[in-house]
Amino acid sequence: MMAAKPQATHVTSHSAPDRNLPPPVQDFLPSTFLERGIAVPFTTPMLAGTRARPGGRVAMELIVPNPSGGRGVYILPWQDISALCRPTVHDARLTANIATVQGATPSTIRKAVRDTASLGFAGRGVAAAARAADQADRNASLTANFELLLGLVRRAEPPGESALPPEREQPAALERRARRAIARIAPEFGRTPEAIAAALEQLATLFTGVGIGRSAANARVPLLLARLLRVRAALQGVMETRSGDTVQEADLIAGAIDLTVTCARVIIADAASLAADVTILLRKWIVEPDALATALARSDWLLDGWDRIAALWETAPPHQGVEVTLGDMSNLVPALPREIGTWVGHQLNIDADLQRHRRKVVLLEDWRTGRCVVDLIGRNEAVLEHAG
Amino acid sequence: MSGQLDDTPIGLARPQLRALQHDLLGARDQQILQVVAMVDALPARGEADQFITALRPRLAILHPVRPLSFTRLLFLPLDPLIVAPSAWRRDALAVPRSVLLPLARLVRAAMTDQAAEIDRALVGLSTEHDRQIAETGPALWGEGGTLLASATVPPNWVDATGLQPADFRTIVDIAAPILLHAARLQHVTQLGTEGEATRRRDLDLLLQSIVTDGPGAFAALTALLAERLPRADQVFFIADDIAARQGDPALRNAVDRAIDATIDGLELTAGQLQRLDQASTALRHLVAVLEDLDAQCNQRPSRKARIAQLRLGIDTASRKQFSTAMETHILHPAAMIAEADDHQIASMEASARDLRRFEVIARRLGGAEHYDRQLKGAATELRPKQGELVQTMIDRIRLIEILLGPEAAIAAFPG
Repeated sequence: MMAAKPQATHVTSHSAPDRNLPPPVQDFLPSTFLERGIAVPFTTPMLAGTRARPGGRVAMELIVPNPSGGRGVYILPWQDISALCRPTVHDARLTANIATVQGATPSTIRKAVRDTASLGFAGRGVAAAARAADQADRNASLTANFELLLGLVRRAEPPGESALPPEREQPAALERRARRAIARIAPEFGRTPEAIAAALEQLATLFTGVGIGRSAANARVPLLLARLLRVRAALQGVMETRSGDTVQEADLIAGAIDLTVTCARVIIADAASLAADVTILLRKWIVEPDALATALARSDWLLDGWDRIAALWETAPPHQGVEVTLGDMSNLVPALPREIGTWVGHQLNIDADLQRHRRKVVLLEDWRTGRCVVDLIGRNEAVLEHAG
Repeated sequence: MSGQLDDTPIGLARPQLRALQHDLLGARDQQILQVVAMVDALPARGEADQFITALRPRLAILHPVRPLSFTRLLFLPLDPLIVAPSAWRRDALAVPRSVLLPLARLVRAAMTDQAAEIDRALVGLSTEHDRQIAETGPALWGEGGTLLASATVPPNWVDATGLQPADFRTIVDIAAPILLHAARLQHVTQLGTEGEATRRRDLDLLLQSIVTDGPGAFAALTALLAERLPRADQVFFIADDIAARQGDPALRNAVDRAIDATIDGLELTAGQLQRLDQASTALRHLVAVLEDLDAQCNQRPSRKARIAQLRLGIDTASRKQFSTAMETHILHPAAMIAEADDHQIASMEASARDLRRFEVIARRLGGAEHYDRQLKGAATELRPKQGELVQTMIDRIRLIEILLGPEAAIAAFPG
């Protein structure tokens, strides 16, 4: 991924003479995912669609969609959030937590979000969902570690050494075979067996999102893709039955889902190929850990924010007009940075799709629906609970 | 209700059915929508239809998605004018629900093959399929309007509707012209806020085009548009303008009839505001129309006085309803908040949102000080107490935040 560099055209509020005035509104077509920032699930309606990213002269910047509903974004220092609105108690806590994050990534922001949510200021349901999501990630990490060990046993054992394939082995026997495999390959890497075991655990953490092997379909990213495809199918129904602006809105979101899912599949396939041979994977991790971690985080960057878009559809009250839900969703559809071309270019030529998507996103204009603030906060909390 | 008790599709005895109907009146929106979907999915609704009848005032607010049938599509444009048979009066700008089937049968009989074609086209469709409605509806409405305009009283009219033969013409004189203009009516009501200028022009053309159908049709269309469009005052203003341009006192009286019908509708709605969670939606519409009407009635002191009276009545009832709900749904249960489970806390929070939503609208009728006092008093009672668990403190802070906003919540933090 390219390093964070604020766009040359940005005029942020850092130099604004009057801090009571909002900074100027700017167009926003980020080139890299880091520049696009990470979606922050604020519950304050005014902050819907806000993203965080490392700043130039400040530790963290806020990218806030133009609250008037028009084009462009505000970019301002993290601590200036209260210049825009009065955040909810939950958001005030979240802002403080994110301010302490070192190295803004979807993973570090997700941790800050869950830590804050588990306090309960967005409701008991949100707190329980945050704890459950944490537990699910821990389970996914254990599963990924198990799959890596299976792969290692298959790779390290000479043919015929064991009668049973490792996946059919009893847990105690599998553990013995895994220890033996680790001890057998450790010298190849000039490492102790303990160091190799630790490296496998670290790798398992990196694969938590995309998953490995037979259980990959149950990992966070493939599950999110499945949710997005269900939403996509429902949008198809909307496009076939509705007319006018509603169809345009559904088309925008459906197109963005198509593009995102297509790219995500390439990225997931790349991650799966990395795990095909555990010894090669281990060598990569030992030789160039940052590059491997960056490659395995790509699906997180690509799909960042889409969990909330899916949740908006899934939690929409049945009597709420579909056009309102689509309006809320399309406001959150992220621009796809050009950097995606370098991630999937070896498999896909998405230049034309990317161009079309970016044009649609920029031309889309938001509007205010006149809904009660307390309802919007409640809706945002429900979305936070179901985002995953 | 004439069917045998055992014939009810859900197999309930009459007292149970009544009890269930009563319970449903107090049910939450989501539950209501589930019941309607369940009844709509029955192959033969039979007495389950009684549920729908009991829920009609709520359905008028919730606008649930309903399956499309020949009859529903035919009368879709008349929707806001359709009333319960018991609420219909001979001088009302309304169509009693009991005439819909007999009138639809008349149209169906005259359309023969075309009707079967429409039946086939509607299979699996619902009221949310607006594209298909826009494709199939106009032809049916045009044909239906023409047929009804020249139709005579069907033989079973009195038995099927409980109305007099003369009522047929009264009702058809309202329904037929509106059906004939229904395609344009749908177009005008579906224009978004961005089409404001277009809507004014189209509204003027639409109302002008019905003038030749007589003052009754003009009045009915005006009342219908006032109900369906976001700004009732704009509709009355344009209708008044047309009446002035035509120089016809009968049209002027027709606008007055439409305004009276709108006020009647408001009074009826005001009497049905029972639960706070359902009252807000109706109250929002009610307050908006009242404000529009108030602006419209400067030249009519008697009408202005009637609106002021109605406004005062709703304001008084709203204040009382708010205070009672605050006590019943927030302060009383909050006395045991430390022992409350997740469900009870969620229920209190939902009630707090209902109260806040209600109060935001209700204070437009007056009584801002009353609501401020109530909310501040509640915040004081809800403040965290010394020695309570952190979870209880957070539950209290959240209630205060929902009721009064984040600043009040932060101020309530202990220490």
